[in-house]
Order: sequence, then C-alpha cells, then structure tokens
Amino acid sequence: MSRVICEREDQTVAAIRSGAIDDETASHAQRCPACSDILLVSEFLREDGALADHEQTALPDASHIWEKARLRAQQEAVRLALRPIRFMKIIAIAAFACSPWLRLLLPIGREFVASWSRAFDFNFAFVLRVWPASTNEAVMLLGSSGTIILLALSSWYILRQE
Amino acid sequence: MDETSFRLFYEQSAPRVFAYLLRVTGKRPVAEDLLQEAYCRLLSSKLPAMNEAERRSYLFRIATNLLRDRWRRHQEEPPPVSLPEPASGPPQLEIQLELRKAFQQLKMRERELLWLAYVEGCNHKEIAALSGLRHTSVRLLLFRARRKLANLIRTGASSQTEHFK
Repeated sequence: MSRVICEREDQTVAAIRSGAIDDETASHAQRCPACSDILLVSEFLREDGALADHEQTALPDASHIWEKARLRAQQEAVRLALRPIRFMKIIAIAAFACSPWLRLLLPIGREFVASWSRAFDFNFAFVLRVWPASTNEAVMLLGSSGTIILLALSSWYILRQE
Repeated sequence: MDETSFRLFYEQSAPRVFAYLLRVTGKRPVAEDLLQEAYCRLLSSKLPAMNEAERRSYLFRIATNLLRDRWRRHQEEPPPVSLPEPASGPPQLEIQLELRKAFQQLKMRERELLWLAYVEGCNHKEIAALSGLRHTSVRLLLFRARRKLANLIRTGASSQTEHFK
C-alpha cells in the first residue's frame, strides 16, 4: 500500500486544515494521485459541511431533550429502586414452586443423614433432632432461613447503592 | 450539568452533530432521532468533569456508536439524498447535488470516516478513538474511502460538465 499512500499526505491534510495551501503543496497534489484525491474530497466535503449549516432549519428543542433525559433518569431510578423487590419476588415464586417437592424430599433427606451417620461412624443425631418432622415445620424452617438470607442480601445491596 | 449550561452546549454543538448524522444516514427523521438519543445519553452518563471540547468529542463518540448500532440492526442501503431538487437552480447546486449523491453511494463507515476527517478535522488517532477502530485501520480505510469518493466525484463532475456543454 505504500505505493499509493503518499508520504506527504499528512502535510497536505495539515495545509488544508490551516486553510492556506501553498504553491509547493498545490504543485505536488497535481502530480500525486493520493494528494489530489485528498484535495478534491476535502474541498467537496468542506463545501457540503458549509451547506449543511444552512439546511438546519428546525433542530429539536434543547428543553425537550432536557425533559426527555430527566424523565428517562427518573424511570431508571425507579427501576433501580424496584430491583430488590423484583429479586425477592423471583425468590418467593421459586420457593413457592419448590414447596410441593418438600413433602418428597423431607424423608429422603432424613434417610440420607442417617446413612451418612452410619457410614462415617459419626453421630449426626443433633441434625436428626433439628430435622423437620413435618412439611409445615420444613416450610417454617425454610421461611425463616430465607428471610434471614434475604435481609442480609438486601442490606448489602442497599449499602452498596449508598 | 444544569439546564442553562446544557442549552448553551446544545446550541453550540448540535448543528455540527446533526450535520454529521444527516450526512451519514441521509435521512432527516433518523438524524433527528439519533441526535436526541445522543444528547439524552450524554446527560444520563455519569461523566467526570470535562471541558467543552472533550464533551463534544464524547458526544461524537456516542453519535458514532448510535450510527453503528442502527446500521447493524437495519443494514441500510444507501439512502436517498434529502436535498431539494434544484430543477431551476444554478449549475453549481446541481453539481453539488450530484456530488452528494456520490457521497451517499459510499458505505456508512466510509461516510463516517470521511466526514470526521475532512469536516470535523479529526486526525487518525481521534477517529480511531471515536470509531473504535485501530489507528492503522483508520489510515487504510480512510484512504480507500477517499479514493472511492474521488473517483465518484470525478465521474459525476465529468458527466455534469458534458450535460452543461
């Protein structure tokens, strides 16, 4: 590509930007295809840019954009404020969906703890003592644990936001 | 930024951003939408303290990203030129229209690069920062776009000259 990209390209561009194309640059551009392209294109685009300034009859009003941005910021703030509630709602729905399985899982878990106790010759009796005997107890246990976890998570979230 | 300073900044910067968006998209309603979106994003972004030139540069970056997002979504064909038909206008205006048609035949990326380089006066490094391209790629892409436009302009100008003979 070095054959087609002129080494004096930057000088030509600088001359165009300064608005004063000296004779040397002009005569070079006549001989150099790359620099003549630069002159041609920049001339056209600068003219077009000047024309574009006259075509802007009615731009959107600044106060309209300001108001739009303010409303958007408000919506974003509301969305952020509601995020913990949305998060808890998802957890609650998940817990509700899982609750029917507790009836099945409860005896399986109990059996699992007992078999571990036998296999490792370790007394897991304290686990079995606190292990919920009924579904209601399990729900209570899960509910209170869930509340504590959610309180911790939401406190962390609020602190992080602040 | 408070409302008064925003208004001032908008009045100073909006015409140039709008011209850029209009020439790259070729559609006034699209350019207006993108202009509003760019300023909304500027206002909602939590920026460190900036001077006006930095803020303007950041605005052009947002506008360029918006153009690219839009192009990715729609993969637009070259749009029609939104200049009024100069049926009885001077020959110079007709030539300018032809040249503008030539500009619209370029790809969106090429129009972006050329406008930033020759109207906004950005150097390769600044264009790279605005467009997310590498510095070396900008040089090459700009060269190709320039050559393509120069050929189109020469072809268009020669046909116009023939027409007026």
